[in-house]
Amino acid sequence: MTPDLSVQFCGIKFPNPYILAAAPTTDDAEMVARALEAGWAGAVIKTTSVESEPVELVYPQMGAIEVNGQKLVGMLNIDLISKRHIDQVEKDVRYLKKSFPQKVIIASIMGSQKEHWEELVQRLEAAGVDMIECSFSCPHGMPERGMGSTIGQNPELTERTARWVKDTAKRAPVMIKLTPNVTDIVPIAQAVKRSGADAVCAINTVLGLIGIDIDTFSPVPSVDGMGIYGGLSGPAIKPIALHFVSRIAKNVDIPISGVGGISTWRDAVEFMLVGARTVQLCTAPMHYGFRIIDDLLDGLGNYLEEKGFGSVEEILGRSLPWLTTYAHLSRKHKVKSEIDLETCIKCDLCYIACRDGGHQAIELMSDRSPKVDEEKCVGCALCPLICPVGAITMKEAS
Amino acid sequence: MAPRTLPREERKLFDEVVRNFSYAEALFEARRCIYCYDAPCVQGCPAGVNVPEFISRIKSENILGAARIIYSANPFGSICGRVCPTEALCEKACTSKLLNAPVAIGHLQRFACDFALDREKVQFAYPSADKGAVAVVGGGPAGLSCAHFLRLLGYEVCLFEKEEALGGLPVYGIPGYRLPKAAALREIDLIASGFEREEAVITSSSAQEILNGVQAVFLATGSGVPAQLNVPGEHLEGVFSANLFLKEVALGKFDRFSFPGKEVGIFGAGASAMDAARMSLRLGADRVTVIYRRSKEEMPAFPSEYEGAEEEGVQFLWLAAPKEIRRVNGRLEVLLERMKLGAPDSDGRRRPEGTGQYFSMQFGALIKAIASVPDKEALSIWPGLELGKSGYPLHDNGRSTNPKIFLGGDLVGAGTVVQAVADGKNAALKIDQWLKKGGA
Repeated sequence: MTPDLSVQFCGIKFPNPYILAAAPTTDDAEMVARALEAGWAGAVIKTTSVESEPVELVYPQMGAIEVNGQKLVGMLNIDLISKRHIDQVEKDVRYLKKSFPQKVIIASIMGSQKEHWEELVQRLEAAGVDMIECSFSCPHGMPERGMGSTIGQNPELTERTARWVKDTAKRAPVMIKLTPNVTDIVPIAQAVKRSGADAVCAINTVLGLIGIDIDTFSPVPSVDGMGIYGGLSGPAIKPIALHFVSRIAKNVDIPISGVGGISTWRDAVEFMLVGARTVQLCTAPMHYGFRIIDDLLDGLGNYLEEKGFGSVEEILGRSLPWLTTYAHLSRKHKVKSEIDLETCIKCDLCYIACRDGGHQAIELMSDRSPKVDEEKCVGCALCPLICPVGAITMKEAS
Repeated sequence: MAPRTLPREERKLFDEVVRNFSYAEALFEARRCIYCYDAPCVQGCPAGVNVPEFISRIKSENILGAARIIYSANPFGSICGRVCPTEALCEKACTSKLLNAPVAIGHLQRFACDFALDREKVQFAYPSADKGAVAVVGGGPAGLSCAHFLRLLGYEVCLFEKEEALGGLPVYGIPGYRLPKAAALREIDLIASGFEREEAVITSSSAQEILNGVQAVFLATGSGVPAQLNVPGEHLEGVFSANLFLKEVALGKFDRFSFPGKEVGIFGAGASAMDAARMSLRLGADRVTVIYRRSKEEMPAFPSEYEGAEEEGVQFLWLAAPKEIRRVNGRLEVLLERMKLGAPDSDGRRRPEGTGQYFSMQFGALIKAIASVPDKEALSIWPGLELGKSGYPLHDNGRSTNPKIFLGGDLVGAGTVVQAVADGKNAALKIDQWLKKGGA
């Protein structure tokens, strides 16, 4: 039987868990329409504001980390909220809801004062929006004006602002997008809960400096020679996002939309296993296009079927009980590296890694094949991570 | 990843067929290297180039650093990057072969070296020559390599070469479409800047004089005398040796080789046979047939050389040996015996045996590319140098029967440019060790 990929999130049925995050991919109704057509469950339209809010963008806006030829391992932007104000987004929402009644249209909003937040909510609800996301988390540009992550870094501001929105919203559930640029996200998520808002979205981008151009000495991206700190996204931030999502899930009873470094169905499954009900993607579709939804859906369905699950709902939060504290980890559990010489190609990267980064527990035989010295192997599991052909596994020691 | 090649229809006489990697292609290919510990490719390189280190420097876009690593082991880095039979050397040993395909080490080497050469960033820091004088005879890869490393070790070097230009086979033998002359001379000229050079044919008396005047002699005069087919008619007009043919063409003397519309037959299936065949096509030959007495399996040419010839349309006639060449109505008629393979001989290749069946073929020109041997007479002038039956000097790991004379290159059967470079380097180190122990 084909597994059911739909999920319930804040009382709304999503045909599948995949949502386009508020980003350049959703800054235009035509783009969103193509994505929904391709199979995405919904989209968060790029963050909008009231007409009087100035949005002056600078260019270029992007920088990236490339690792040994893999592009966009991490991507950083100094983009802001959309230049398109509420008047245009209202039209987008009306058009998209009419064209895709089964899909979920979410609007993202940002305001500099109470009246703006309220006006945005009222106009979007009138336009028929399904859900409202509030950006309390943009790490660059907006905080200088008391907006964005300035709110999301402070529990009181978070609770107060979220309450303005929630109290205004008559029908649409409210989701607050959180920043990872905090020492502890739990008090912030608790503040959202207290406000009455319906869900959190975690995480927004991680504040970073993507690089320095070593020829010109300018920060990247360089706007006429000058640069600022920006928001890092992409595969590099996935561990940070998984940490925050799981921490919220374990400590606060509130639905979570997980975002941060998801590129494949495998990443999505991990987010759902630590408590995300829906997942949002931005960098991956910016890199490869909306078409990636085909494998996101196919891979997820195959995974569920193979594991014997009938629906996505069955895996939500499933890994959370196994997240514990260091003191609770077993001291009796012992593992040793085991090398399958049939698979081994004798590159001996395990040897050099263990010699210079481990415990000198791998010897080289005369034919260059590596051999584990079980006396010296402490079971740190560095070598299986390095092996290019997956010839090393960690076996329980007797 | 194989680099792009010049489309067949655009291949003129000397246009290099294999293009250099672009910067992006080089990075892409370099990233395929898994940076093995104690990498087998290094053992596969006769010159001992530290392949994983130079490739990791390409990965980090420290291309000049990559070139420096290559040049520290092999002053012919760009030349060898083009002409090495890498499929039988470094790339044969490449671990990535077990994943998908070997890393294109030769092409990456060429890329790094050309990058540095283009920017005039290749310099050899020769120290002052205060350790005494060594004579190097022969200005091919072995001689130049030995001279280079001797200079780096602080010896004064005088190099003797009978040809006008230094370089030997890379300049006079390897066709420009594999190794453009300008590309060869860039490295050769850099090396040659380090020492004195004499353009001289050495006589008995000058040989003795040289021996008396220096602490050691490195002899690398090659094996440039074509072997004979030993069949009637092989000296008829229109029958050339591959050595002469390739050299004259390299020097721009095409007049004798007007091949348009002709059918050309090549005897032999080694590197020079493939080069002669491909060059004949470039000189307008209508059809070129390589005739070999054994089969494809036993062919001495390296796979890349054979594939290059086959791709360009060279035909191959296996298991056929010439018995007689006659001139018939202005054409050359070859009587061929159909051969079969017998038991393996001393080098493990199956020996060809006659079947007693004969047939004839007609050609407009014939090129003999069966083998070449050292010049016995030129070697006989060196006192104490004993030659074996085959005409090659007797030696023990490069040490000749005269303790003062060291040997290398094709004189000891190097067979490839990179092996000759390695011979020259090893000889320089041996000479240094020997002289440090007191020498003669």
